[in-house]
Amino acid sequence: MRKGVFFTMDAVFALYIAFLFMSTMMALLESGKSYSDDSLTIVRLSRDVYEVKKYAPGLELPNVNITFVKTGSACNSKNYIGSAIVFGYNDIAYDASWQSKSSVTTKFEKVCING
Amino acid sequence: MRGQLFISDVLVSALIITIIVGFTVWEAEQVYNAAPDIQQDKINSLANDIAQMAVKNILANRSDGRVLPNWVDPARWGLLAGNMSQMIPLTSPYAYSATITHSGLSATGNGGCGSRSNVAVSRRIVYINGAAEELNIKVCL
Repeated sequence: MRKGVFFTMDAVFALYIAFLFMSTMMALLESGKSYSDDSLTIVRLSRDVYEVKKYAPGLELPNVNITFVKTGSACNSKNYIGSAIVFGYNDIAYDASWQSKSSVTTKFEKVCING
Repeated sequence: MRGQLFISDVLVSALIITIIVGFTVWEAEQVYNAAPDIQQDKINSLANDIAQMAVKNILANRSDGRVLPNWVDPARWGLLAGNMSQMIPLTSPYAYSATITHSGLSATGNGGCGSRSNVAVSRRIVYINGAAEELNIKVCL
């Protein structure tokens, strides 16, 4: 028989327990991954709020008679989740030399839905 | 100390086999888990796209010449209901059904949800005469 390294049963059991511990930790980490199914809805709602604020500031924001979505500080309830950064486009403007000064901007809109 | 003979070659081969089997099982699990997630993402995306089309195009208020965000015209609801059956085959190869509801009004395409198991819901804000209201879109596959 070949000469080899001796492992006592205690060592084998210790290795087994170590493997078991590592696989359990990996399974727990794996199950901890999550994502929001509502991310697209939140992005679209954020853009709606951005457009209302920019193009129709006279319209009321949905904080009064709508329960599924809130904006700004009205989001501070734990029942509501989500926020998004929307991309806006500054209105086209020209300076004295007729150079276009329009540009793309980003704006953070805190919009949340009843999660 | 007396012990069982467990040579290092056996240990190494057992480790390699364990790693191969483990990764194979893990990959298979990933594939099986990914399929329903991808399908759910698809119908979520579909519900959001239908909502976008309904709010921004079909129901958009054009009567008074003002283009305000999400400002809808309830008189165009009949147009939406009439277009639902045409919209479904154009937006997806799957025979999904979609229902859009708002303040008691309802437009359904391809029958109702019935016993279909995959359901996605999207909600949007619409404005009627300056007041914010809720529009619901339910897509079933």
